[in-house]
Amino acid sequence: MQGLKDKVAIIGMGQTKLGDRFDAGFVDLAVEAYVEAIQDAGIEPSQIEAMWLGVFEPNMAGGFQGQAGSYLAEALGLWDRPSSRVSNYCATGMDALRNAAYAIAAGQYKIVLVLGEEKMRDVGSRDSLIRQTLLNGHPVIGKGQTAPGMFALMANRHFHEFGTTKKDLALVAVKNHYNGSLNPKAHIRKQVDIDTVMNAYMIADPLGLYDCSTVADGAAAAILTTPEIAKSLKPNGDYVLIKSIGLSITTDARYFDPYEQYIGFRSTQMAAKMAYEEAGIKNPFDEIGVAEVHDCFTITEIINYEDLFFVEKGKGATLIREGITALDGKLPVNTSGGLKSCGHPIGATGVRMTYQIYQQLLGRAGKMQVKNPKLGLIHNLGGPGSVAAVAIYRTP
Amino acid sequence: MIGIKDVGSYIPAHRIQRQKIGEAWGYDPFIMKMLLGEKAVANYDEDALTMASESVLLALEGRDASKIGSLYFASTTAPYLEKNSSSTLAEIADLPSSISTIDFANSLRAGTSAMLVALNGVKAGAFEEGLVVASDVRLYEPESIMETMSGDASAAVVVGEGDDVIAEFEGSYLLSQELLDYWRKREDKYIFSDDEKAASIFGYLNMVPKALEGLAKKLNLTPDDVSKIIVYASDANTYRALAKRLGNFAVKLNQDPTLLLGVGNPGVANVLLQCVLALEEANPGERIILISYGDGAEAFSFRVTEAIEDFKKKGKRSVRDWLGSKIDLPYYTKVLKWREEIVTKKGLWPAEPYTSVTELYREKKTILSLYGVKCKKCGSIYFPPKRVCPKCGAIDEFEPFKLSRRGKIVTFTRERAIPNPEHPVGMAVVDFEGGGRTFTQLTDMPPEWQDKESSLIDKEVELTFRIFHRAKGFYNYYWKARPVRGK
Repeated sequence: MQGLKDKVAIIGMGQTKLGDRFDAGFVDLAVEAYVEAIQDAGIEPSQIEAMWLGVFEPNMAGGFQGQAGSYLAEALGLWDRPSSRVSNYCATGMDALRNAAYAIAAGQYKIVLVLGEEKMRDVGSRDSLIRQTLLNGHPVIGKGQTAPGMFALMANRHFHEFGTTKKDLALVAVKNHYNGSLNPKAHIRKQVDIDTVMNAYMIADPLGLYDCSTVADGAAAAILTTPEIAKSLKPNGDYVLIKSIGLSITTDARYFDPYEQYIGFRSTQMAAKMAYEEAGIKNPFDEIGVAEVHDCFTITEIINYEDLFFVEKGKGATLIREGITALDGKLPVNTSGGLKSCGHPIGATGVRMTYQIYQQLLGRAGKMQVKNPKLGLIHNLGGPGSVAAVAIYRTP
Repeated sequence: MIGIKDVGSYIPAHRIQRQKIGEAWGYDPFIMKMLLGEKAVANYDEDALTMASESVLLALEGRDASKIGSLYFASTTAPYLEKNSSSTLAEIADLPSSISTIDFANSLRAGTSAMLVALNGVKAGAFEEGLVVASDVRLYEPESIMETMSGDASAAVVVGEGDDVIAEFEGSYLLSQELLDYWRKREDKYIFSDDEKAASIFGYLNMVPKALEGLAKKLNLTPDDVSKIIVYASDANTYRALAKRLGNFAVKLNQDPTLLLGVGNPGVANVLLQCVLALEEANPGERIILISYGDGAEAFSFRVTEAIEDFKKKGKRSVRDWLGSKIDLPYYTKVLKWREEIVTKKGLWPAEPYTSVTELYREKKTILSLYGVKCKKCGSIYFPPKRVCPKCGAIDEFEPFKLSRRGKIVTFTRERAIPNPEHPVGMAVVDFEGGGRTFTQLTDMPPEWQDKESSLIDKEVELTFRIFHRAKGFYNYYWKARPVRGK
């Protein structure tokens, strides 16, 4: 297998502030992330040879913006080159980046742009993603499922099998809100205490308001190139190398699958195995210095610990209980605040996570900075857990 | 021998104490004294069709459905004025398409009329067995006595010819009458009446005794020949007034107040529900008279046979099982909301779910008749069906697999995010007895199932046919799971 290992470099990244961006439309968010990325990369727009746009569902805000790659070209005034739209549930951002990385690794292009975005808040928060589960899908079979509901089904089974508790979930929220409070680009910059989380309005038992990620607007952009060009543009080594990206899918019909146990995501496990193998990682818990994992709901972060093989199945909660994944812990997870507090503009999220790890590896993460990480991991999960991407990044 | 071969019934889980209705309206003490017992209330996702489906499936339980040649549905509150419900029910019951399906409506005696037509069909040799179901979600004007006395329920009988008849049909006496006692025009929500006393004297108190008299004469019956007379009656006062006009037969009038106190008057289902309860507790040789009323009256005589003992041994879910399995409604406002007397926006917002008549038609064996598939290569069962087996990779190697309606919850949640008239919306993955798994909504959750602290894993549930939504202006029906009721 050829693989990506060390064949692709990230030389520039940008991220908008996430949140209720009532001030900004689809184009505004795209430009905001793009401008930061090309300035960071130190390149001219004309050097961009191809583009990938990650948008999950343009219709959420009632329009078509983001429906095709051309919307990115339109927003940035970059015509006369290829531009593709990628959509793969909440793993859209990472899949867009993956497609772009393979194009560089294949030698087709020298410099490409990846931009993930979701404009969710031109409508009320319930009218974005929740509404999709009503307006789309089967007329009656499975009707009533929502994103919180799907992950709540996992939580209740995880509780039942392993004794994970609502308090464990609350600890994830407390940690991620703390991290988010340090992130100037986070949606929610407010710390919360455990009682607030435990007693919050219930969304889908056992997930309360603070167990759920935010419905946010936002965009994030990355400029990808070859390691050779990266070295010439950034002689000081101010860039990041992609060691590996794994992506795997499993059933969308998770809740109809007679073999499913509802205690983990096979998609994550397979994607992690691919990524670890390609990157030559034997013991992820010891080797990875900082991670952004898909905490769409607090239970997901705990399950992710297990599926990413940080800890054995069923023991996920121990990492949060013992502070191991805290900012000052052995393996800090979601230093940005995660989807929980930094925000979850769906199509942007995988790229947004990459932005955080990129900043961490380059020592630019400010108050969120962890001590000298060498390897960073991002994990992006989508659908009812049916698609997952895991990427490993390193400093040169 | 022609007669009734099997029975089924359904009483919705929710009940409201009549005193609570009286308190809500501030009725005076004179009326409050009359408000005894409780009434059965269809949930927000139930209607006459969904309630009928329960009785139909119960009546057919353990029977060879291939003998059924007709399905007749009787109701004054059918979900559609144009488009029948009997064809939907036939699909739910997985009956072949080569049967007679007819809806009977527009009169409170439609239930027994449907039974009469089915009995005649059997007698004429048109079919071996016929299924008759009566169901009503009676809608009376709020703050009326009729409202407190009515209730929601359904009842079904299988009629046919053979040795397994449990109640032999001996004869009928039919009367038609033109009279404006109660009416509801196409555009009306509620029933109208004018001079109720006059109407009662001309109509009910006149026709019911006449029908009994006619039947007794025709079949040469004396009061001693009769074990029980079951009549349509809206409340206890009506019974008492009628008893005075039945002469020597009055002592045989069914005096069991169980249904009046526990269900209320379920309109078209009234007589058949009483009949089901009577048969469930009958002994061989008993003669039961049924008399329905509405635009005339219909009287029937049935003689309970020895086969009743075999029927009882089956131990099917009974009217008393339904009665004993209930959820007390703490607030009368729920009833007003579920019948859309008060329309609130709580928990709802303008968003019409996707639906497609094409998709519903294409998948009706799944959506209505509960067919999934079983892989002939590896035995995996999938619901809804697939073409390619995810387990072994076999393509188009599936055979139809019908889900049983009973199972256990594998995992669950209680949703508050999805728009719905009531929250929480239970969602559960269910593993079925005999194999198969699906994921659907929970309904009729008692308070302990709604408790945020309670786990529903391993709880036993059964599928129940319900309204999911009304997108595109039609009823989108499918199966929800509910706690197992009664047996």
